[in-house]
Amino acid sequence: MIYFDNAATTSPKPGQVIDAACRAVGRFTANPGRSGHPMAAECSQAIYDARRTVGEFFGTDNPEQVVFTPGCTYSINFVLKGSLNPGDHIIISNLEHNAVVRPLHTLQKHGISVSRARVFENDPDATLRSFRGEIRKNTRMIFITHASNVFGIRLPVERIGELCRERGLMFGIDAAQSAGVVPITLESAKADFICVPAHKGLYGIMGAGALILSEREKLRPVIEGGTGSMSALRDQPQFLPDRLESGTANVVGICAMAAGVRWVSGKGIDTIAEHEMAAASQLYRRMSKIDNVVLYTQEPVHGQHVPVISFNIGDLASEKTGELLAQRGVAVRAGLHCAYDAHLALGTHKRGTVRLCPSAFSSQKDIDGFIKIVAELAG
Amino acid sequence: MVMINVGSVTRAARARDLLFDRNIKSSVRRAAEDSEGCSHGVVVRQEDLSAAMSILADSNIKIRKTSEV
Repeated sequence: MIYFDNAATTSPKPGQVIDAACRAVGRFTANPGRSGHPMAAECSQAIYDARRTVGEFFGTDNPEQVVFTPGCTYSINFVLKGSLNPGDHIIISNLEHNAVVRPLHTLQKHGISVSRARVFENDPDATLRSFRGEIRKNTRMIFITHASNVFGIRLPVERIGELCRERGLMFGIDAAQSAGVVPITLESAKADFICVPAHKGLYGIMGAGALILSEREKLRPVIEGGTGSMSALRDQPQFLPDRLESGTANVVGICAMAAGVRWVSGKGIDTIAEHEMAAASQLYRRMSKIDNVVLYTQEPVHGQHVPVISFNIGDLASEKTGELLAQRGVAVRAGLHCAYDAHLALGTHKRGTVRLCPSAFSSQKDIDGFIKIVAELAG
Repeated sequence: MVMINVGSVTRAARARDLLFDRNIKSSVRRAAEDSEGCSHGVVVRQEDLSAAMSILADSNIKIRKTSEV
């Protein structure tokens, strides 16, 4: 199998991640934070170590500012539903995933207004102007994807973060496609919230994620319940991470996430990005020379894109192309990628696209094999 | 030995790390009694209590209570 579906989830996982997950299944079998016995304490320590690892990766030395969630979508929901009030206005980009679009669609029914700023590929000045132009008196937050999950186009988060600081706005980032590929910290992006999944560029396993918060945040909990703390009180504890972490933690997913972060750090995020961007550029250049292959962006460039490419072949429906590729041993994702807005923005909403994304494990053999199969299908 | 109750298990672990960085040895322990329910803290030697409380206060860690253990 040639696996280029890494934007959906990376595969394979590093050995260290698999080992950490297996170790957690076998060893961390008590409930963290709920009891004082040694097994629970050991498990609590493992979660705390993971919190430190993830926090340091995203630029906080305070592990309490790292909230583990079931995934990036949950992190985003926690931010949007935990901070916006009726009468508030929020600005998002026109390339957002449904993880952002759908919660906001619901919030619009409760008196929150939403504007979409246009993103200009390879033109951060124009993108910034677009965001600046959408700011209103009641704007409370800008929340954006760091990079489109469909087209790989990066947004100038650092500059938008500066704009937010300048205008006193909260700033949140969906780093689903960038975490582990593009360095990002709370400080570098001037962000209040960074939402990440464990299982993509951080090479953890599915079912875990994190929300990294600045100390400016005042999120209301969306989910409430048992935290192992202040159990005699009806009110949710106000301190982090307990305020936003109810119910038993996904110990296996969290330990695997930390192992993934350590693996990425050890290998070097720049080394990984260089490898993946070189692969994406080569794929783009070679596909652009095949008749009948339609590409929708400019060639992926380090600094302006993440290694995600969308394409179609001739008049074929994207799902049909995906099916034909699967029959030939190629894993990609076709369709609308849970991001109809992004497809609307680039005019691909009627048939969708086929998306490919290399990973740190993608090889030259994978690229050559993929190009050969695409050329055959397009011929 | 004295337990400094700080609330959550995460905060207790952070408190332990902060104290360790300032050469005060401590350990995380779940409180045996708490009128508000469950909580965690760090256990330090009596002679380190004053310095420990000062370090934690400097790091904005709210001390809920102290008790001999």
